[in-house]
Amino acid sequence: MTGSVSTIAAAETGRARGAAPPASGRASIRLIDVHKRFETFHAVRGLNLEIRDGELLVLLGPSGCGKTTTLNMLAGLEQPTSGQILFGDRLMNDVPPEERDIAMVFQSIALYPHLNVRDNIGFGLRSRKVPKEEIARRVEEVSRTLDIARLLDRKIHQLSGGQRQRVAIAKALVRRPTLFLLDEPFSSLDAELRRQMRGELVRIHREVETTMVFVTHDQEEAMAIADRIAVMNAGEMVQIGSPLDLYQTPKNRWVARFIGAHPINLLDARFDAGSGTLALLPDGRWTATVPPEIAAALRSNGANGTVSVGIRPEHLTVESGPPGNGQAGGEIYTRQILGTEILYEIDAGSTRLRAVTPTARLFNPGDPVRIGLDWANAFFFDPQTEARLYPPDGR
Amino acid sequence: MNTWVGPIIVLAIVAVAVVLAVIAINVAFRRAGARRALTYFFAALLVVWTLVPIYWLLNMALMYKTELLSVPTHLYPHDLTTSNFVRIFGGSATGPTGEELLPVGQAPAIKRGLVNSTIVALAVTALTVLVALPVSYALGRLQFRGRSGMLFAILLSRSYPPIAIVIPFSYLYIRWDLQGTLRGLILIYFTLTIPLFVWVMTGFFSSLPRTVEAAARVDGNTRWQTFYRVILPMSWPGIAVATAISFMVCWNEFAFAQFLAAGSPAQTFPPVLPAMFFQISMPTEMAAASIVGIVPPAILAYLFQRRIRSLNLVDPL
Repeated sequence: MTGSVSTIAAAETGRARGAAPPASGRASIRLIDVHKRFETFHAVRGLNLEIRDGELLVLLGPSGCGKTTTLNMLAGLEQPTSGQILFGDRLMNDVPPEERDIAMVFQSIALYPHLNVRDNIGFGLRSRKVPKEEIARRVEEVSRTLDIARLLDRKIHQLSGGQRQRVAIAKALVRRPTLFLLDEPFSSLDAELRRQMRGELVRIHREVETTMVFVTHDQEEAMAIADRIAVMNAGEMVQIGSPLDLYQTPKNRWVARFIGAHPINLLDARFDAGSGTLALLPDGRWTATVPPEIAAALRSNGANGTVSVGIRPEHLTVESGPPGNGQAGGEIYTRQILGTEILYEIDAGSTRLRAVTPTARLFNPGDPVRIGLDWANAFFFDPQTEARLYPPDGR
Repeated sequence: MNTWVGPIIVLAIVAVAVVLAVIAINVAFRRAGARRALTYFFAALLVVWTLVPIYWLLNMALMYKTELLSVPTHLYPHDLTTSNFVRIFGGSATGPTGEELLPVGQAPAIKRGLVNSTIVALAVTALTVLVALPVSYALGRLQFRGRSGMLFAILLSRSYPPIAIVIPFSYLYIRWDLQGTLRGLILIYFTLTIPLFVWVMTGFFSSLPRTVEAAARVDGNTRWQTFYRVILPMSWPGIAVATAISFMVCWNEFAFAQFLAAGSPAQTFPPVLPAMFFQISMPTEMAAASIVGIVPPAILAYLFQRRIRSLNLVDPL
């Protein structure tokens, strides 16, 4: 029994020794008007971002959007060309990586091939002059958490991809840093393992309560793990919010298209401000009178004529029978049975729509159907600026 | 003309045969056993091709000169003797008919040459590693202005043979009092080894995964600590190869040694051999000396080859 008590005591001192003092550790991270220019490439353009203490923030965007550059600047591997990076109140722009209390997991799983698993995990602690017995104890502890205890004496090249990724995460965790940076850590794993590792990461995050910044281009992954998502495009942050915020109130058409498991339907509709009618399809085969609330919102934004309407496939209804008021007629083009739901592609005149429906009623290619929409789930965007006109923020 | 047509034809035939054999092995034989047997067969053929000249050297070195001149040629020494080895190191020996064989006249030069070659090769190699390793790291891992220009200049400096620049160097060396000195040789050998080492190691460094270095930085290492704690241990195979090559280049170098040090107390081993051939023809003694000259590089190659293979770094993740 005394043994376990002393273990706990040692764990406490370990925390005190390994991590930075709580005062500087528990503080938010701010990026203020950060720019990064490479020789010919303006990678990050005026980024303003606050990372809250203890949150799991995902930087999401297509490749080349500047998310990894941002992460590297947080790590100190790149210096911002201009702007400020603050950890708490401390300006970090020129602080080298070794003097920041961070741990990082890389896309290419950067383990040291000349060391075995045990030495890989302990490497960061050895670099920081943590006593030997303490390193041994913490390595044992973290390897039990991640279920890699039996791999400790293996060489890196003897491990599978999933095992390597666990070791990489263990190597980061064992450090007990004040900030975790993860750069697409699961992208080289197969789908099943990726799902499993996501769950594990969320669990670990809940346990250690340390700020994590996770970079990915996979919106599904971002939605699955994030407390908040910062969506980036072309070096700029487009929107930041909870996964549901992004899904329900995308700031603009680009975010609406980027977020969501199934690509959103984007229609070049014509809005008649006078009568409040909306022609959703170019050939006039789908016209509807919009609810007064939406019409008012569109009018107040000066919309008359072309307006971009976004409807997620899961918010279109597909039924048999001739189209009623505010509905469109169409014909099933293809069908993909996904299990709990079915993805249809439907030809409505010259436009092809995507719809996802529950598996209750099955249509076959060629079947005539009527398509309806739920105004509560429709987005309206300015066709020029792409900004969202309706619904308003905070719906 | 006939003197070089023959060897070229033989070489060409062997090259074509080897290529065809490799193709045949892979195309025709699906069965692993047959394929393996053929692979070994042709590997053996290549080994024979490489080793026959060395065997012949050894054959000559272990014969008396009288036996070497006998017709038909002896494929192995019928009257085995170590007298050639004894005599090139300054000892006397007894001939096949009981007569006394005196030491080879070049014996002092041979002994001195071996010592000088060792000094020069070790000094040059050590200093090359010291200078060229950081240079290669910078060229291989850092981005800076003039990087590719520097690499090109380094490559350019190896694009002409030493013999092309040895005459001006000889004048300079006489004027600077470096002619016939070890430090003169050491100095000029850097022009051979540093570009070679830099070229090999720059390629090696730039092939290492970049994120490993980033990981080491984040793990709390300065750039310098990252270099010796992570990059150097990972680069050991490359360093071993580059070092071994540098040593062998120095050990084998002939042109500079001949022009800048031959006949002086700083004479290295390679210029001694032609002296044994051109002044008074001593084929068996020269063969023995050649064998002695081959030994250090051979040992080195063997040691480093085992080192490289024991460090299984083919998969750097």
